[in-house]
Amino acid sequence: MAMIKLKKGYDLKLKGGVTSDAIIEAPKPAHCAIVPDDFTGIVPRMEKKEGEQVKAGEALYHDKTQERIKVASPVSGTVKAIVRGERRKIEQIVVECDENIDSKKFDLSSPIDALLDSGLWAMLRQRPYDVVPSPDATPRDIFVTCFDSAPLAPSLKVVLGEDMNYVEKGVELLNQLTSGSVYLGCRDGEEIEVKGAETIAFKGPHPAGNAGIQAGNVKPVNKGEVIWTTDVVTVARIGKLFATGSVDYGTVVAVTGEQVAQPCYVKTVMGAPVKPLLEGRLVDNGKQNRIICGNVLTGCQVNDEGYLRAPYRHITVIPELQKQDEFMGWVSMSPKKFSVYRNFPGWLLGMNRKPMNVDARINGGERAIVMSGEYDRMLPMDIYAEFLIKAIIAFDIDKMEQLGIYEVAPEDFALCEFADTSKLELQRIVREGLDKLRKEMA
Amino acid sequence: MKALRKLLDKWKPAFHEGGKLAKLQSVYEGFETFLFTPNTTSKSGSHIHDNNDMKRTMSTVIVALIPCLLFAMYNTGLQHYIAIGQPDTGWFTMFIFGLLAMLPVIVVSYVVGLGIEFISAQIHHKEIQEGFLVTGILIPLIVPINTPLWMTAVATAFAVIFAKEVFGGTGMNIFNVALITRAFLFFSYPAEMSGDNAFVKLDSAFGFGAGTVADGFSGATPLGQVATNVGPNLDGLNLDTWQAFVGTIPGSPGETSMIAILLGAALLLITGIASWRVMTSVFAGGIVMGLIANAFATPTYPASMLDPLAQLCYGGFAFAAVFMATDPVTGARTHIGQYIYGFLIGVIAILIRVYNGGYPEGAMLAVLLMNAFAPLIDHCVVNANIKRRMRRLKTNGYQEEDTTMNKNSNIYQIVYSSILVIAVGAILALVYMALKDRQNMNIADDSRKQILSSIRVTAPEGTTIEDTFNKYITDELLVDESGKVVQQGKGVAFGVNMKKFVKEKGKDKKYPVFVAKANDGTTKYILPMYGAGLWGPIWGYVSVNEDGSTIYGANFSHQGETPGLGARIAEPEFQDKFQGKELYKNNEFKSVEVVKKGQKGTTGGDCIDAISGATITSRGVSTMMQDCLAPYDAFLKSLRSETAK
Amino acid sequence: MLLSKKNKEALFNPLSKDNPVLVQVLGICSTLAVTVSLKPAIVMGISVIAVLAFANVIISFMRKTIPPTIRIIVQLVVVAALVIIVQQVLTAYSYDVSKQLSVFIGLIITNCILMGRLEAFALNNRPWPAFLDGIGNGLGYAIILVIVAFFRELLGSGTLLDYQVIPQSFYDAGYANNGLMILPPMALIVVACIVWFHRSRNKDLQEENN
Repeated sequence: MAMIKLKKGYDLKLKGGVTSDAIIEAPKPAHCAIVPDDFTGIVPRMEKKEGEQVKAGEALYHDKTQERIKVASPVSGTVKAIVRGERRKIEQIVVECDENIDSKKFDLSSPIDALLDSGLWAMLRQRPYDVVPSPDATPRDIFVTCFDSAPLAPSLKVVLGEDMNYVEKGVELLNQLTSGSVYLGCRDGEEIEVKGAETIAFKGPHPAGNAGIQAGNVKPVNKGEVIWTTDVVTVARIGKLFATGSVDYGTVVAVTGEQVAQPCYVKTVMGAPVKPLLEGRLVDNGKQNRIICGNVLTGCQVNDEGYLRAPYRHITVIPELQKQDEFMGWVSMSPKKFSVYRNFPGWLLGMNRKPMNVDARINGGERAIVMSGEYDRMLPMDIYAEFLIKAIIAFDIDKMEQLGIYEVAPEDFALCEFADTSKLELQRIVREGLDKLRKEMA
Repeated sequence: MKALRKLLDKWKPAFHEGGKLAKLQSVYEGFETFLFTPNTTSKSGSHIHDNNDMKRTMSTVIVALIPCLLFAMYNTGLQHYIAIGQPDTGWFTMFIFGLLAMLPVIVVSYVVGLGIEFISAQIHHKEIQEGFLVTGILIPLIVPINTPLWMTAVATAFAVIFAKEVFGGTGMNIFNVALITRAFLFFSYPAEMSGDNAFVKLDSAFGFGAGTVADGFSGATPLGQVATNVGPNLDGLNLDTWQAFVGTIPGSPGETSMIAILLGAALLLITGIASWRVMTSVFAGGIVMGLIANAFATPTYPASMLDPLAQLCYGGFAFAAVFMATDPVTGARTHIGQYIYGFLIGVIAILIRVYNGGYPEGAMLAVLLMNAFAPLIDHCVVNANIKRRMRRLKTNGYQEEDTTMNKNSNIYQIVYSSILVIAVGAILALVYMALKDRQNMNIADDSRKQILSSIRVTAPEGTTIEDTFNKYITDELLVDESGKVVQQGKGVAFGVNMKKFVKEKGKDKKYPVFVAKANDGTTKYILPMYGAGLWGPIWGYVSVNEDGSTIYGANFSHQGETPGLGARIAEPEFQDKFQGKELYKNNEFKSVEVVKKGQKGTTGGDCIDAISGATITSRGVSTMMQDCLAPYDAFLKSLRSETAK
Repeated sequence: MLLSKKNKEALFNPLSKDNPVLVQVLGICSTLAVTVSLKPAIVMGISVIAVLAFANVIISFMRKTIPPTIRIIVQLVVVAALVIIVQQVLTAYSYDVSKQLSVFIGLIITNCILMGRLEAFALNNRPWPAFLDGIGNGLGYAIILVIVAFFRELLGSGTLLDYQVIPQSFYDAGYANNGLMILPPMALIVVACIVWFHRSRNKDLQEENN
């Protein structure tokens, strides 16, 4: 078993982490929703209309161009609403839940079709472009991450629970879909060995838990190749599908963040509304809350009435503003202000090792890129991050290819975005760049 | 604070779209974000952001510059009071003087620079960026204190517009803006920028500290003194390395004190704002070049005799290493690139300083030059990464294009070309033959004009130069080193090609002399000279009275000396100074020496003030006169005895 | 006079819309070198007009006979010959100016405007239009030379055509001539400013920006 040490990156210590592994059972949700934006690269073409019945695991819609790829309903019930936005873009599909879950049974003779039909295919991602993979291309390898290194992230072991037993089946299936190997990237000290997969231990700070980062350090993807990235929870679901014949979209969510009084694990289902999950758990300190599905770096903000979004296993709640109208905050010598740079006195007093308060303020205006080396120290890949970003902004296709655009995804730049003194929206830049490039190369 | 916030909120609509002061929106926003951290929260991507931002980063640099600023004020005062003969004035008085002297420069720098930046921000509807906060304080620290304010204003405006805004503002400039300001001043107004008048404030500041300059005062910086040093070593200069380290020497305000600079460097390194790679590489490069120069030390290049570590303390080297080379926008951005970039800056700075006589300080030019190369260095470093990636590529690379040429052996071409060449050659030969005489006449006339000028004669309108020449020049001689007239007659002296003549070796050289009858009725003897200036050859004619010693007039010409500096040897202002000077003192040939203002001559003979800022050219004139006139010693002495008779 | 529409275009376009210096970006080197003062700039401008016009005509006359593989060399020979003639005439009849222009007259041979126009126009057009094109481009070039020289001489030496324009009172008050104006870099910046001004007036010259 190989061990790879990653030096670049940073582990941000936030307040509000989960301390106990106990899982609380959440009440059954009245309705769930699927948000098509969570499935990058898929443009929905509805298969169900409002008012129609749908089983758990049955397709709600398929992709406009690649009709085989389907996204399924996590619960059984009636399609309550198809909410559209500008230019009739589908924002979310709300399904009113039945009392009992009625799961669809799948024909397992053709593994690929089963995966596609059950909506599990849509949970996978590919590099290049970080989109749902095309069923027509065979990936060179598949990289599965077994730990989430993001701030306050749940332990995937806890999220898996007993479904750990299905991982081997899942790996067996994935092996059939790739011409190369299935790699399991584990945290150093918490390795899991599974037959049919190659386990690699990773030591180092976040973003070591990103599957793409792991791929970049094991066997980077080249132009013309395709690799898939996913996590061990999805692999377990795949295993469960092929073991039981139906797909289980239940999930364990870590409710974390400094605005959460008792951070804990909650068992619920994908796409459940967040309000009941947070009911009674939030701290009442007069600060406005920011509810994030996912972690503070890559997660998606939802409002009170929102639904659990990808990756469907983590909620972070932080204050919107710690302080309103802070007078000349940029001059502050307060040791409480956290920075990865030595520009604030906190590091002298060892404050960096303690969990910190955060809020959603940008702490500065958007500027031109001035300081050098800021991105590179947060990206543990053999890529000159700053030059790649500049190539993306300029949309210089040749340069992008040469600098490794096919190897990256927006989530890899999340930490760079946090640390950027120029406050650029790096993840958005990378996302738009990848989408534009995909259109260009099609 | 709440009251302040309420006030700002009240004014907000006026400064935004539709408001009366909408045109000053960028000014309002600049102040608003200065006073209050914006409440803006993340809209996309990461929800949390580091507390560090551009304002904080730039402020740290400004704090790092404060030691230099404070010392600069003190030193300006110190040098001033030394200059007016009151070296024992209290240090606080000196500090106040310096403060008053530097304040206008700081104000001008910020007002002009920020003014242009605000306008730019308004035009582009963007927030004003903090880049100029640092540049604005750098400019007063590197511009010599005696620079007229309007020049600093013009230079700052030029630098901000053409070296920054044109490229896209903060973060987009290729060249260091503060150094461009300095370079602009240096090349535009060389007389005011270099030499001894620039670095010490002699006038009072706001009426404070008035006084008259003491005799024998020289405001030359140590490097300036070294550059004009003559003699086998630097002992005569009394250079005190400790003084240079502390910084109580003349120089640009912020650059003198090593201690202050090192304090600033410490802050920058502790906070991690400046790249330690660049700083250490610059110093390393400087030391390496200093060692090399020292190894081949020679008095021709006086600065090569300086101790390599002392080299670091003098001039603007240390300041450039810590505050200029480390500018992240204009420097290399890869780690390996930074080593190369820094090292080359150090090497080139000392190289220019030692081996180029025209520039006693090379740090500014070295940084600007490497600014231009930084992207190339980065490109090469990144290319290694790209090559690694390309090698992994599964898809094949492109194929080489077929570039074999088709050689056409067409007889027609050969015949055609031959006819063309012969025809054209014939036409050109004809043209040349037809015009040759006129051309030669013009060249000859030019020389005649110069010769006449040396006896204070200009050809009047309506007459030809040749006629005037013949009228005044009565005879031409060739004399040998013993003073004997070897040849006589029209054209013998005129025919000598001085450029070739000075290169000839041998004892039987025949020296040309023109005998003329000046307007005052007496006979003059005109001697031609040819020598070397700073950038190219210089030549001239000097006319001597019948006593063989007194100079009646002189004329100098040059080929490519610096306009405004060395080129001024061709101006009457300089040439007239020679009138009346004596070539002989106590019957010994002393020639006339051109010495820097305030210095004494070394030969004991007559002296002329050198052109300020054109030391090398002036010295070239001196040398030319000494070398070219010495052989006439016997001849001139014989004239003396003739007159004595 | 045959001033058909096409010929008119050949003559008038290079004055602004298709100016050799501002738009075609040719002839920059000599623009930097000879614009230190007005007099040499004017002489250079006239010389280039003459050389360009006649080179255009000669090459146009010869265009059907020139072997394609050596056409660059033939162009060079013609231009070089013409330039040498100009140089000789100047040395004979206007010595001071020839001293100031010295090597730069010879550099007309390397002036990209000449090769550019010969290749682009003279080889494919009849002598009369070629002549007009030469006049037009030479004139366009000369205009720019004069403008740049105007500013450089005024700000760099305080004179215009060697006649002191900036009064002594300015100098006494502390004004100094800008030495950088006499050096080539400033000429480049002056040309850049003229291009800036020219482009902001002619929107169709601005490229589409993303």
